[in-house]
Amino acid sequence: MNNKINTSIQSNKYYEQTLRREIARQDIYKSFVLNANSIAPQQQRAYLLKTRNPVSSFIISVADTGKDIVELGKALVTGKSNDNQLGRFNDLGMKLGGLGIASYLFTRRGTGTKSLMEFVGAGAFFATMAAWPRLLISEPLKLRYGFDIRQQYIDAQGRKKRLYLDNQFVPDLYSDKEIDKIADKMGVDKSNPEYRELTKEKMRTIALQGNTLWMLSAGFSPLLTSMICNLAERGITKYIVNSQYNKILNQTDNLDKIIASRIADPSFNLVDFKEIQHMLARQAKEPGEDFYRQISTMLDPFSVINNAKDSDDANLVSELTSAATKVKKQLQQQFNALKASSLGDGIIETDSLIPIIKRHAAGGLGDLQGNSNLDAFAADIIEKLIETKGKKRDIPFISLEKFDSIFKEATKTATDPADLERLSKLYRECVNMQGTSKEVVEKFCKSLEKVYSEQTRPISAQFSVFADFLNGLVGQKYESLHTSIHLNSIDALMDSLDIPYKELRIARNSISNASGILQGRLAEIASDDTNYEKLIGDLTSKQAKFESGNVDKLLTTIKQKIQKGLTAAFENIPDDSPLAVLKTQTDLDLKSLVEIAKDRYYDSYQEFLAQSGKQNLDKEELIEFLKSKGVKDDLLSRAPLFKRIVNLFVEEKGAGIRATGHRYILEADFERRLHTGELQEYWKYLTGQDTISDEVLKICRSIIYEGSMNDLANKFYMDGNGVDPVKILKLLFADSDALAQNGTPFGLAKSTYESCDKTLLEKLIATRENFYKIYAQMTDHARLGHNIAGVGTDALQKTQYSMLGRSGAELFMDTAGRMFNDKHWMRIFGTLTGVVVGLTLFTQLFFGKAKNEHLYNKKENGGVNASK
Amino acid sequence: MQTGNVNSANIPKNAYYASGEAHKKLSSTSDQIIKKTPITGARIVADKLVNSLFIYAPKGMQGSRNSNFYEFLSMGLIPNITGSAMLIALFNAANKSFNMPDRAFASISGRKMTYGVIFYAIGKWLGSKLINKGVQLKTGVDLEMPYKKVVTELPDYPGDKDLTRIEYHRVFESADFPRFDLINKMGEQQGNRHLWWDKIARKMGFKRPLNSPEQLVQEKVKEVVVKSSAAKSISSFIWAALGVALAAQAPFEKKISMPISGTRKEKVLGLGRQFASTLKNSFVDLYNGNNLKFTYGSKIVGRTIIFGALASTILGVYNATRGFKVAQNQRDTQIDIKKEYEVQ
Repeated sequence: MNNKINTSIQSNKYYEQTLRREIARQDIYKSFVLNANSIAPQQQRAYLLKTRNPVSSFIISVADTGKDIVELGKALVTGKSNDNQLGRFNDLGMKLGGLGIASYLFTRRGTGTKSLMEFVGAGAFFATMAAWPRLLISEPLKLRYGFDIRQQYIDAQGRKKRLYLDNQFVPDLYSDKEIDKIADKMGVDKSNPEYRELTKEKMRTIALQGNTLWMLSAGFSPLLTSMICNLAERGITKYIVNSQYNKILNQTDNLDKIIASRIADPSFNLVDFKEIQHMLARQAKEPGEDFYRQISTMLDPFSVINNAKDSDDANLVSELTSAATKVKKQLQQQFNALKASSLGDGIIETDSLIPIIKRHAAGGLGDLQGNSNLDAFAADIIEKLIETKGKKRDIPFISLEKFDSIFKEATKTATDPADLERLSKLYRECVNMQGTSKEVVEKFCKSLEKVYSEQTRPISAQFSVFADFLNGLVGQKYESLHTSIHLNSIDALMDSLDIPYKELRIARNSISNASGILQGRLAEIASDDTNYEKLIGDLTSKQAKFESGNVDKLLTTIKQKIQKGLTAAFENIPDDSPLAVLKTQTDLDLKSLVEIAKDRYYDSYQEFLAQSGKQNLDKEELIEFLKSKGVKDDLLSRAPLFKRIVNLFVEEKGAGIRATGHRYILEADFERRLHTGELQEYWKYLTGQDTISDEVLKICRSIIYEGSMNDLANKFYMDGNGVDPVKILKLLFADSDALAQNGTPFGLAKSTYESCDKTLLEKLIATRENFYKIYAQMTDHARLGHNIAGVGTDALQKTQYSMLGRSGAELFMDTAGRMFNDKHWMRIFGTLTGVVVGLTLFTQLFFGKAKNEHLYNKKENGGVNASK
Repeated sequence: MQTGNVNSANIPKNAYYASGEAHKKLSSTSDQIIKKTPITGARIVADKLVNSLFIYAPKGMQGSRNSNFYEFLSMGLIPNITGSAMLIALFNAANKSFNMPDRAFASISGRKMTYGVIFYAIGKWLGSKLINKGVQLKTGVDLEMPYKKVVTELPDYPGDKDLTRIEYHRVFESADFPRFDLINKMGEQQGNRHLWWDKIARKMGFKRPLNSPEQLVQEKVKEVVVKSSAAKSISSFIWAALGVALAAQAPFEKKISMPISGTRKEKVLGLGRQFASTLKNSFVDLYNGNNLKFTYGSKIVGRTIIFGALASTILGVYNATRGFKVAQNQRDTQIDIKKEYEVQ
């Protein structure tokens, strides 16, 4: 029974299954029959991207980069991504790496332009990498064939891809209408029944050829990058100069705040006091030269400049940084005084040691190793004491340790117990003098700390702010406002001179070459009215911009403000401070006075000496003598050091660049006057000679083109031609007002005079006067002490160098070198760029010839065309 | 209705696929993983370069149907080389005509650019190499495993007989379609289809061989491939940046030249020593920052680059292999072969 039921259930199950299977089969069949007409491939979900303008495509590319970063995070976390996306990560990495490199190199450049150029360089690099295939390949091809080989599309999964990236997988996404348009542009024969397929085949061919050409030529894109950077550099310099000027302008009003914030800035602290304390603890018992030098440098408020970036500043100040030396002397005195006053509990004084030793020795220190001469033993100790310490007088104190060791050594040989007892008494007595030196050190250290924080640091802060401002404004390093404007005008000058490559190549090699070429070119231009007017117009307008009151006004404002602040700060220094020396006026010593007398008034000085019947004058007499000669008080005594440093700073900074610019104007003007005959006329007035001889002309040119402080005197006199040098100088640098009737005042050519504005004219005349004075005060080496023209300048020697500026020929040589380098580089790589670009474009003329075009033609004779 | 006992031990091993001998015969005409030697990578690059210049580029310029994506990617070597040469030339080629001070300054930047370009390449190579090696060490997956691909082309002209070409790919170059089939094939040639999978499974922490290791391992390997290649694309560029930053240091301003005296060996050694000390000094400089305008900034950026490069490698390897090891003492999923199954 059981069995039967089981069988019945089983058979039921079997039928049920069979039934279900049958129904399912019917369903499939039915649905197939019913839907037969509607079954088709799924709809194309990929689509072409529209071409966008560069701005929005840039924005989209930035957005895409953002998406890539998100995708990167996802991929890193989940480990799920696809090949397309992984390829995009690589581009992302390249961008980030490029940015990293640029920002690191940015921090390594000294000047603003160079730093910024790193970013421009990196940006230009990526830009040209992206632009090269577009600009040189896909855009020309698009113009010619009407489609973009870099066309992008969105695939069915929503990923952005390039249509022609894979030659063997090109999705068929163009509409028939678009294909027809392209076929028209390509000139495909539309009577061909397969013309659309043929067009697509041609498009594929062109895209492949374009992509291959891209791979072959992309390596040359750095050429384009460097061309862009070359062009960008001038613009960037300009931008930086402008922003620099505005920054200075804004900050000048807030000078007090800036100084206050610098004082408050904890990083503006050049001294580590812990270290100083350590040093003091080690050395203060017996300080050496080193110790005082370090301390005094630390306290010197001007030493902040020595740590500055501009080495010129450091040189300038170091000339006057006898400041540190002076502070050092003061410190030494103070420390010694401090010690002497606390001697009772201080360190052993050598001088008082000696009598003690002598006294004990005289008490009978006999028979020591058979040596009965007691004084000799004492002398021995003393000698050893002194010997190890160098000269006795320089070492007023000795530390206990040192004394200990010397004493032990001296008594090694003593064997007699009585002697030893006496010796130990001596020792005790000496040592009793010894207290702790700790207090002295601490006291001294505290006073140093006080001087530093109350006096040195505020002054340093002010001075460093001052130096920063000056450097930004007129510093002679590359990117101050002054130098940038100046370099700009030199570039403009070179542009208007238009020196060919071959001459640049020669000019860069020596000053005389440079001078010859510059002079030849200027003379050529000066002989033509329009050319000269254009040149001098360029020169003067640039220079006038340079002179324009703004920079000068700023300079004056800053100078006044700082001087006021500094004066107040220096006046606050108490008289017992080691820094007090910096604010006191110092008199010149005898030696410097004699130098002045000999330099300026050699003849009358000798006469005066002979009259007084002495070998040498004493100081008072000398001062009397100099005063009688009209030397000002300022020269005889020196203003406080800080004032001199500030003055020198400002004078030195401003003088040079201006004069250099003026020299170019004077050079051009010289050639012009020579051409118009104005120079000859003046020469006639000065000497009565009708023409200027070649000799004189040569001297004139050598002064005006090459003259510098060093060689002028030699060049001038060694030619030995009997020409009065003063007259030559007058011809070159003096006003020819006597000739006012010909209508050219100030001794300038008419067109030069007309192109100068008032300020420039004043400055130009002032520079010329400086030249005259500096050259004319040159002493004639053949006749010692003979002052040529009886004039002189009170400016410091160093400032005089600056006042002369750089000689035109020298600067021209340097600039010619620079320009030659640029041009030479451009000749190599400009040509190469041209060739590569030309070749890239030329190759495209041969694109688009489908190899198997015949396959698409109308089939002839009912056969295939393949065998053709 | 049938019931029966099937003992899998009765099935002869490898019964359903071709013998190793047969595979060896096939290898010249089908895709095949190739044995890796230290110079395999270099040989593949050389092959790609030569082919790019003399075969792929002409083919591409003719618009051939047979040009494929592999050829396009291989040609990417060309701009890398010409671009590097161009960068070096831009900073060096004109210098010898300059006058003295300019020439000296120009050659400083020329030298830096040269080292920069070379170190960029080395850094980039090293960056991905380190992650590859790290991943291989921890997972046993050699991401650079090369294989030879035989490609059949369409005839270029009637009667064109030369229709096959060889390409060199990497098994894991595609994250979408890694060539797992070739791994199986490699195993089959050595008589055990599961050879490689078993190795990876052991690395994953399975103590005994699994019955069907691919099922489990493939997913993990794919994950490792994606994670490590994402990490490589960032890390290698940080290493490249480190290379450039090193080349930008002051020690590389000086010329590194061979000593004038000594035997040949001494000279070479001297050159090497000089280079090593220059490299060391620039590393120290990079670490400590320069004393130019942005002392502090350069120190920070310099250290960021150094530690960034190291961190990108370590984190990259860590992330790629994270979760690769299954828990210790994993229960074997092996099927009990003694168990009887009912087959309907």
